[in-house]
Amino acid sequence: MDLKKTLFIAFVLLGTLEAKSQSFAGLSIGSSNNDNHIETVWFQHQLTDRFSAGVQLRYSQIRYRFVDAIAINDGSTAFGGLVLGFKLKETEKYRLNFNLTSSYRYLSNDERADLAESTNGLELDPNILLDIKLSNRIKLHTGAMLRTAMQFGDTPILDEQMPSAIVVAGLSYSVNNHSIALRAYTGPMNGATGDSMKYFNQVSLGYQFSFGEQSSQFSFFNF
Amino acid sequence: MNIQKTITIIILAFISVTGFSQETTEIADQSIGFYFQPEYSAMFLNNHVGNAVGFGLGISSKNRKWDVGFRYYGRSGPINLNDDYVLVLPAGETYKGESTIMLGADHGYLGLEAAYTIRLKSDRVAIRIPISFGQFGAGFYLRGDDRYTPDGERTSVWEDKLQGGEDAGFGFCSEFGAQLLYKVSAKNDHIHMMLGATYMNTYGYESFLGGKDFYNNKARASAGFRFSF
Repeated sequence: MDLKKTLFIAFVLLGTLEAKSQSFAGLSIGSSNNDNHIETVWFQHQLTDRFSAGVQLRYSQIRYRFVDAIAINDGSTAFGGLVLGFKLKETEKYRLNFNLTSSYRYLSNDERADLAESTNGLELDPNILLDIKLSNRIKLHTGAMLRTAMQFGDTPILDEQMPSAIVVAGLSYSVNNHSIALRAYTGPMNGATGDSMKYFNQVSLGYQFSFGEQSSQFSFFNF
Repeated sequence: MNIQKTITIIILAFISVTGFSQETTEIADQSIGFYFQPEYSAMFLNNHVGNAVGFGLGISSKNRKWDVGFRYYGRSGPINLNDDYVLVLPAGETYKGESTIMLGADHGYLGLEAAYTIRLKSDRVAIRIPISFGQFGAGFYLRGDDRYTPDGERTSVWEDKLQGGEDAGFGFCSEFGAQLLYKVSAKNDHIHMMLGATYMNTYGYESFLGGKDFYNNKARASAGFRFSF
């Protein structure tokens, strides 16, 4: 591709980020009973009034995860995924969203030499999220996460985790273009004939910056 | 420029000029509503008060009296650490040198839910009458260090072997009850506190340990919130 075409495509790409629509960039740190610590960065762009898309990258140090449905306690994971955000309904006081995060997962096993050194997998995180305005600056976020996880490779496990009754709750505080949020997950999990996490807890703290023309009083919330 | 590049540019151009209205229209209450009810519940089983976490989620009728959705909860092992069941292995059989092992129990439920809400004189209080019917699954599992099997095999393989394939089972379940809803703030119609009592029965499930009526004719008390519009 010659320089002229490259510049043209770059120009159109920049056009997607121009000030007419809103974008979000953020980072969060967290801890769960899966992982000692989890770091996430993301970028989300509002494409239409109801639809946004973005990318999310995540790294974690393992506390209790599974290789071939056998527990390990030492290793790391890296995730790279696409995030789709759908606004189902919005008023002055609340917004109802459906977010879908589809992530490729790479797991590095540092503990069990008898198991695969690494595995590849896919995680699908459909979330139904309700944002409720408590004040101009504070919003309550709550809903359900219905995560599905799969391991690929020599020992494929397509039901590594089945959709489970995991509750999401969060609070965010926004000033101008800046938001901080505390988000928690809790709930039972199942899958892999019981060889999975049986209960999931996660807490994360995040910061998000928005730029472009503000399209909603509710920030994108998918920390 | 080849077709691939042309399409790429068209798609990107389309994205960049897609209409972007700023509307945050207040939709009148005459439209279909939505509800989400996360809850913690205490289950009154034979020898144990079990902890369960879950939610109800669905849509509400235009007059907000009827709800239809699904109910999903689980009484998971790690939040019921004192719920132990003794498994005595057949003569001559051992697991990690022991002929008796302690097992944990858990169960989960996913069902359809329908509810009718009765408004009381106070506009902050309502009574909700839900009924639910769906799939139920329960089982017994190895706990703690017992989850690390002697031969490195999956834990579920040993659970199956030790319990003769009876470690987990499925059936149907029905629930009905009543919930008291209290609006947290007079200024916010969307958040209620919820207290509930539910009566449950299972069909087609026989528990391997703890008696055949492990989950039959049982009650659970729940507390949580209702978020709705």
